[in-house]
Amino acid sequence: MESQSQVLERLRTAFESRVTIPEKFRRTQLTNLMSMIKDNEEQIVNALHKDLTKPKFEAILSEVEIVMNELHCALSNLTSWMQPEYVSKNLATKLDECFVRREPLGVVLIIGPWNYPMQLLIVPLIGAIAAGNCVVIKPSEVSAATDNLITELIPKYLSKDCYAVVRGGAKETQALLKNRFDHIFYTGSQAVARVVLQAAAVHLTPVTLELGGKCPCLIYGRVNATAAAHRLVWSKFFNAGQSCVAPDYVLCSKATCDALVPALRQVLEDFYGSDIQKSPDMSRIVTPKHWTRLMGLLNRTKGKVIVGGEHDEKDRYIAPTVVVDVAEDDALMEEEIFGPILPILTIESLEESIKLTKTKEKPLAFYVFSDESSVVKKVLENSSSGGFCSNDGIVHMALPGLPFGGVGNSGFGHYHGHWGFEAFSHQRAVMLRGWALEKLNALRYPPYSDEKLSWLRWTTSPKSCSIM
Amino acid sequence: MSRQQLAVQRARKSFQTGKTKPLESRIHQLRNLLRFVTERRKDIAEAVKKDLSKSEHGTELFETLGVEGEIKLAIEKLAEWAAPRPVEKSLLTVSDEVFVHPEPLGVVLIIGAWNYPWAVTLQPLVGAIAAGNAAVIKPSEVCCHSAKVMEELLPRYLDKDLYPVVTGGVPETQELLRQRFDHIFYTGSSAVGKLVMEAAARNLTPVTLELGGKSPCYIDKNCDITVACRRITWGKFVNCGQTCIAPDYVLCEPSIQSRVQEEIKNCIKEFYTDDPKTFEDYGRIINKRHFKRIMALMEGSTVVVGGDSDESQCYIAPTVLKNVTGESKVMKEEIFGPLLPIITVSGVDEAIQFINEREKPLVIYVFSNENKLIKRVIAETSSGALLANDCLVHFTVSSLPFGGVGHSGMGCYHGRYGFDQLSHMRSCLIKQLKMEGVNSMRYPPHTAKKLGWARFFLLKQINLGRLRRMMLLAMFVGVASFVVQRFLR
Repeated sequence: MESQSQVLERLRTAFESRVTIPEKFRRTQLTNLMSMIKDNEEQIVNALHKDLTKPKFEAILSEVEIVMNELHCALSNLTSWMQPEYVSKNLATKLDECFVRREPLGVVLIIGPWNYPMQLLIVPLIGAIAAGNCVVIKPSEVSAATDNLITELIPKYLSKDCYAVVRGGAKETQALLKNRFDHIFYTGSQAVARVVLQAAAVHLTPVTLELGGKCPCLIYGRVNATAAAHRLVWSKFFNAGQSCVAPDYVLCSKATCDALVPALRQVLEDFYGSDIQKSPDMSRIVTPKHWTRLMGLLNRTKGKVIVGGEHDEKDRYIAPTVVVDVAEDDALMEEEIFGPILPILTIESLEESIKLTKTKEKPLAFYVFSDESSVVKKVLENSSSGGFCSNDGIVHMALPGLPFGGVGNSGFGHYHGHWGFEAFSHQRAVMLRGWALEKLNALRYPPYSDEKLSWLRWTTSPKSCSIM
Repeated sequence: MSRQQLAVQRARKSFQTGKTKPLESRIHQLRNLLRFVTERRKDIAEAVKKDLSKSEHGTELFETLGVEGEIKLAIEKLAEWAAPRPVEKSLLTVSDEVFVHPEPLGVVLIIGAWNYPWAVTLQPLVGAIAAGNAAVIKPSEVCCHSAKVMEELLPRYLDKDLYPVVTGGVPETQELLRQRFDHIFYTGSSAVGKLVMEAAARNLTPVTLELGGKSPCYIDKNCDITVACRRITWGKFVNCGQTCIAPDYVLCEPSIQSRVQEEIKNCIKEFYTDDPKTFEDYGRIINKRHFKRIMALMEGSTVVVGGDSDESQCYIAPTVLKNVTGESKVMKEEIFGPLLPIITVSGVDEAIQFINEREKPLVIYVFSNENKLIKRVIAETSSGALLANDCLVHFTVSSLPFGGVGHSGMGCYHGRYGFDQLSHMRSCLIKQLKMEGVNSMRYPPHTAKKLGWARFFLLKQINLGRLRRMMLLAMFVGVASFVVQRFLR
């Protein structure tokens, strides 16, 4: 078995041989990655079911299709992404060639989480490969079946010299982080992110952090409660609430809450039937440890469990649960829930709700449900978050055109589509000057003078080229 | 509460009032900054003269001209930069609004350097203000006169609460770094860059690091050596070599080495006269510590031009060194002084190898008539930037990102890049609660049929452009066949 340093040395040698630079190579790897997903769809679905009891539908949509979509996007656009970008010049540089070149960074590290173990590992990988890097892939050991599958499949489909899977738990990851990488892409929690950043600082390695937070969901003004309930239930209980962009808690008036709760109850029955534990469309909590954590929150809440609450430890099952009369200092408001529990806080005014969200850390996503565009606009303009979506949940992150990332405590940097390519590239400024116009250059040489200076002012101002 | 804590707290409170949101208020501050730079030209020049012995013209050329340009560009383009940026949609979001919304980050910390105390502190500030942030400005204490002027005069032009100037040395900077910021913009050495990043890690604060390195300069034998040497001499000895993008060392073939030496010697005389020590447009080393550091670097190499010095004035003559190898003392660290080592290599292959054995620099310079050679250097090396056939001037093109890679830094700025760097690009999807029927394919209970439709509709990207073209084509074919049938049969 190769040691971590042997793996890194192999990848660095491969990168220095410049094998990942040509477009053809990157295309081949991306195409192979596509085959890997297509050929093994069943195994992927099975592994995800083993890890999270993920329903086939969810697995296909959020772990297979979204990855395929990103691959299509990369393959269709790679040529244009790799093109140099020519930029505007001033008069002094009119005859020069000025452009920005996208170049690979080198050997990058991608650390994946357990909640969408395929998507959140492979989508960054697509960006890294497209950008021409060599990649060390570290899947989460918590989603063990997917970890096994990725370890088996990656070397079968991708170049073994350029892409390697490194496995292990906290100890192995800490050892891995001691090495020097040219970029680290981490998806996970704030606590581990701090460790990653500290390790990166030692080598001046740039980092992308995709973290989480409590994503608020405000429901105000005139609202179609049924439609809102459908979308809220879907986005909250997808993957049993274990999504970094799941609506964490709801803020609305008492009247809205009274209209919403029966709608939620109805939708839950429509979706999962009367015995939700028997529905094949509901996931489970990933580990007994997380199940215990969530049950702890439910036991400590001072709110009223109005829907759900059923649980089964052996099955790691917690029913989709709605809790009302939740206060700001409730146990459910302490940390990111990351589970199928939906607290509803009753706050009469929209302004008060917005004020409450401002006392909390900036989340990964911010949601508002309303038929009134003025309400949507007010929330958008008075909040800060990684992303924003009105009248739906999660779906904004499925669009490759939108940068997916956080701000503040929810992270920094972003990816998806072209943004992923940029995240793993260095934007190198290139300027090719000619030999002519040396007389013009003389304006800048000593001895300096007022006259020279005023000529230089004119020729180097960005406006001056518009006269020409 | 410490002075630093107070400044950050006031800045945050002020930011939270929302007063930096309207573009007019940002433009107002930018105009004030421009007034500061133009009205206080004399104060700025005097301070820089005391700090670095730079002449007034030199200050204007290398410090304030750039800042003025950046401010004017930001004022002109702000509306464009700050506008929501539309994005490609999927089949199902065709009727939704999808855009990226640039938003302020909050309170930014800008730590300036001493070599161009105004340029490298105020240019990031332009980006910070334009992006709608508050900014705590920490000028370098090493250029103490400039720091003092900044502290005294800037608050007379800019909002005191939003843009406080906090001066001080290492302990004060450490106290500042203990506070929470939404972004830290640091210009300086790699060693301190690591400490800044480590401090930022505590609060998960993103950083922009503009560091340095040894920027190599390769002179191909096939080039106009006279012009090349003029440009290199200029680039090297501006500010006495204390420029992060100064050509640190020269690589060339032995066959042209003496010519290069001779040309540079002549240029030095032309630019700085026979006695640079008495010449107004030649500067000084910032302080005794750096003077001693640079003098010690000459050990083991041979001086061919210059070499004389005067510690009492922190004066080091423009100096060229030969008999330098990769192991020489002068090659062990970034020189940041007026010593130009010439190292001989057998050709561009060896030059590329030499460069790649070392940390990625802020810039690579290559002088050659052959485009192919230049393209090779571009393709086979990595650096913040690459400039062919000149030195320094890429800094003046605001449409080029200015930043490093690897040990020379992370992030970039200038022009729109500065605005983007200090903004949060927020993804926005504005949907309506209508068309709920379409959504039903994604809801449980899941069936194979729903899955089929979902796979097609939910995620497929469509190229609207191509679809439009196809529809146009179909329309044209329809119309054409109609015309043919009706009129031509």
